[in-house]
Amino acid sequence: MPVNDTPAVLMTGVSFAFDDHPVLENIDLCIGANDFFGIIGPNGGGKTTLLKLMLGLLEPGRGRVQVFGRHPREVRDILAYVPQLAVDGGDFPITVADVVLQGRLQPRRFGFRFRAVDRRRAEEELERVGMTAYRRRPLDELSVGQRQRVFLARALCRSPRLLLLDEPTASLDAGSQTNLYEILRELNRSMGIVLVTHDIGVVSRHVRRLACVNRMLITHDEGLITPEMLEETYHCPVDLIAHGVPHRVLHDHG
Amino acid sequence: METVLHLIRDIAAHEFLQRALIAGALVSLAGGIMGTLVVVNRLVFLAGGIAHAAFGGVGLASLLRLPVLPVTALFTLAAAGVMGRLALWGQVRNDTIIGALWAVGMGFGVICIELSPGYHPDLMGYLFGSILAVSRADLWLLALMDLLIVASVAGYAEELIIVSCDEEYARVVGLPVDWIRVGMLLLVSLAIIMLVRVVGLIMVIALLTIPAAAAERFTRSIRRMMAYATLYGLACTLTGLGISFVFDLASGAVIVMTAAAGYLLLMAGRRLRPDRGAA
Repeated sequence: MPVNDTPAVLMTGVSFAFDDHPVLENIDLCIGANDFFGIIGPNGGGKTTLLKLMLGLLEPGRGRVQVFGRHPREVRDILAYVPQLAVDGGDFPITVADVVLQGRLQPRRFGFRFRAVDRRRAEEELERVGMTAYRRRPLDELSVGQRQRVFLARALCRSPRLLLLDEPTASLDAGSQTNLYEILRELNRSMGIVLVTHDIGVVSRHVRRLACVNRMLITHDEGLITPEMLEETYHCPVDLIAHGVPHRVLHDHG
Repeated sequence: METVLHLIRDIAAHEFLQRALIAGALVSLAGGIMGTLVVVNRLVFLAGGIAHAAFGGVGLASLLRLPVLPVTALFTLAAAGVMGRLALWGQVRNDTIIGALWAVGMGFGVICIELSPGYHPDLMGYLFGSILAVSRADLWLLALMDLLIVASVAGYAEELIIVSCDEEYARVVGLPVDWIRVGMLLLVSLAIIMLVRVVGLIMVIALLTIPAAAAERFTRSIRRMMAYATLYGLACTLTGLGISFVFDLASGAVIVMTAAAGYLLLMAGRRLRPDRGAA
């Protein structure tokens, strides 16, 4: 694994509250520039908030969030984000190709137009996620899994060094999940990846490192899920075997 | 056929009819462009609120004895600013605040008009439209507003589309989302002020929504939707004007009915040819 001195994400003593409801408390977290980092936890446990802090969409109440050693907003050009998708695709009138092109926008320039180089790049990224055949289709005709890949292609158009994904496999069948993880593993050769999910089963087979968040954060550097971690996170004993998760997940990334 | 020839002779003879046609074309452009953004952003209720609050401007102009269109324009922009601020970023549920300001603007207008000594402007014209009474100066003002709308939307097309399509993504890439929303709302207000001239503030919402909805049946591109909506609005305005002139009916109402009838025909046509689905 290549060594990089500046961690992709460094959180120190971070707390965040919505009004008076604490969402995250005293989080310390370090994610390397080439990590494939999974964050799991129950719904409402603060997973998405953690991502939004990394993106600079939210400011921590206490503590500090640094991305590549800077404030997240200063490095937004090298951050990319794939949002959590609803099963309903909405009804916004836009084609797949135009969504991917959005990744090439240079903000704050009157009269901005996409150029041939932007379109070429968008085509390349569509190819990479295997969605070229759908380029002229309206976005709202696609399945969740297909839209997921379209948004991934849009994110990749930004040539990110860190890719953040929110529940990327939430509504995917097992085949699509495996497919997505294969793409992500390939991408991980050239960028750090952080993904948030409540899907304990799949994520643990693919990520290098794992953290559990439920207001507090528990990290496990080996990418293993132990019953103790889950119990601490979910505040109740979790029967791993009954949920189809191997008791110990073999760490096969060397 | 004879009726059509008669109509054409009338248009050639009467300058007020020519002005009405030009006004119809100018407002169709504004309505097509901004109507598309209103529809895809689900701002229909907010647009209705702005249109009705605009009546406060009509009343104020009458009270202060100032030119109606400029005063109404300023008043409407201010009302849109307040409504947008409260509705898009406020704590109160936004349809509540829009509904309240909708009526407050009208109430303010009615009181102003009652307080205006002697002179009462043609109120019905603002409520139901008065495209046949458009003056030469009005035409220049309408053209200027069109220019402002076209230039702004063309200059920030991608930004407007991204904010409409995926606001969170727009924030992640660092777009000034709030400013873009404010700008969009002000442009919507401009379009409303223009459309009020043609169909009146009570029916303005029809010309913001029906052309855009009709256009959406033919394309999945915002830019084309704007173009098609403009053409649809133009066709309805001109047809409606002709019908209203021949049968001596209120032009605003006939234009709206024409637009609605056309939309129903489109839907029926699509149903008859299922091979071309709504994609």
